[in-house]
Amino acid sequence: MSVDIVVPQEMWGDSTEGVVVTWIYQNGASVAKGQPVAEIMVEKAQLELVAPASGKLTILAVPETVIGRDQVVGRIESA
Amino acid sequence: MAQPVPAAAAGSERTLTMARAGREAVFSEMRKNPDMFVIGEDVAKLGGVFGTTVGMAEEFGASRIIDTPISETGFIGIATGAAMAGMRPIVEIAFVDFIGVCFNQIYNFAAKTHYMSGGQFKVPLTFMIGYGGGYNDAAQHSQTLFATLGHVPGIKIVTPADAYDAKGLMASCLQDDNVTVWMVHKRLWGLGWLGFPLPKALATVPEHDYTIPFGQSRIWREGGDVTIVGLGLTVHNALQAAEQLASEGISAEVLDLRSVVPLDREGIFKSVAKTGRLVVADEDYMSFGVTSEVLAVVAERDPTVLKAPAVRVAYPDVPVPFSRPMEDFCLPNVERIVAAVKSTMKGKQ
Repeated sequence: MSVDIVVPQEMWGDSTEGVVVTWIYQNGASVAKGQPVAEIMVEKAQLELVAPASGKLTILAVPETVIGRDQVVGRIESA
Repeated sequence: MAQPVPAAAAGSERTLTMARAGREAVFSEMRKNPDMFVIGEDVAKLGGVFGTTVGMAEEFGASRIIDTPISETGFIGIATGAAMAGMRPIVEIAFVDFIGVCFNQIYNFAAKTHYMSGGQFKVPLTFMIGYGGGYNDAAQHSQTLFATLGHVPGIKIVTPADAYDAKGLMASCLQDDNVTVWMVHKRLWGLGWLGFPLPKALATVPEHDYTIPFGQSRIWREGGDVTIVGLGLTVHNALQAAEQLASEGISAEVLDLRSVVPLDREGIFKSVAKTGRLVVADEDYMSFGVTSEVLAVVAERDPTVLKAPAVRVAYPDVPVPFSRPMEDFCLPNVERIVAAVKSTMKGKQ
């Protein structure tokens, strides 16, 4: 099963654009649900994205790229 | 320019920013020591101007993560007194420029009490301080000031250049029983609004606790023709300079001081004795600074190891300009380091 990683609605405030600053884990790494996996920036606030499920991480939005609301920035394939 | 996503790894190692790595050490020590607390401006509600205390107010509560008014003399006095009474305070000063306000508390009380009391009082106080320019914040928010602090006996000063060192040096500071200062260049925190993380400042950081001893420099790159000494951001500039120089056939060794006090005099001399040439890059003011002290190490031990005069690449003795071209001109950037190295190589075949 695959779970999408999207920026939670409450992190956006009035903004529509953010940016990926860095991924904490590499593409293909095993992560556990609730672990921080990436840091993103919305306005000038640095926020962390946590894994919505346990499994293998696939990175879709690379660091320094602009992301929008509802954009799938990564996926987690659970075993 | 977008960074490529790192290739798939077998395990699940974490690559952390320096801000995250440093605060991981603080979290860990705070959990072990109920007498440890954080005090400063914007540390609780905001989580630190540079993200040094994110999540701590939620875990440790308002009695241990304490927001203060803009009153450095007051809260550093509080912290010094608390440390003398047996607690282990951590003081955040976001910008090193602000130490001017409260320097009496730092250098007359915090730094000297252990000595003046004949060792009866220890002052286990750690400062977390941001420094450095390069982002047009002008003369009162861009300074480095290693030498201003380092000149006073009784203060240990470290400045990591990557996330691994950020965590290990922070742990060493927090475990030390007297005044320590953990300083991070603003360009290195890994916060998007201060510039995306430099690839080499991000590092694999173990989840377990570890320390890095004070006064132990680190060789980032070995070389045979010249030693480039840097610390903090200038390590990254020196590494880029070394890359450029390699393409021109010059082999540069890059030595990261990691500690300003105590200074790894043995490590500096050993490297310079091997290469025979020395360039020191520092964003603090040139005169009476870290660069001078590094040159003094060689001059005092054996200046005959030098095949050419040593060169300092530091901040000119002027206040930091606001204008971008003027500030860029002053910074110890890659171009200035490359030129300095080449000036030491004249006549070498």
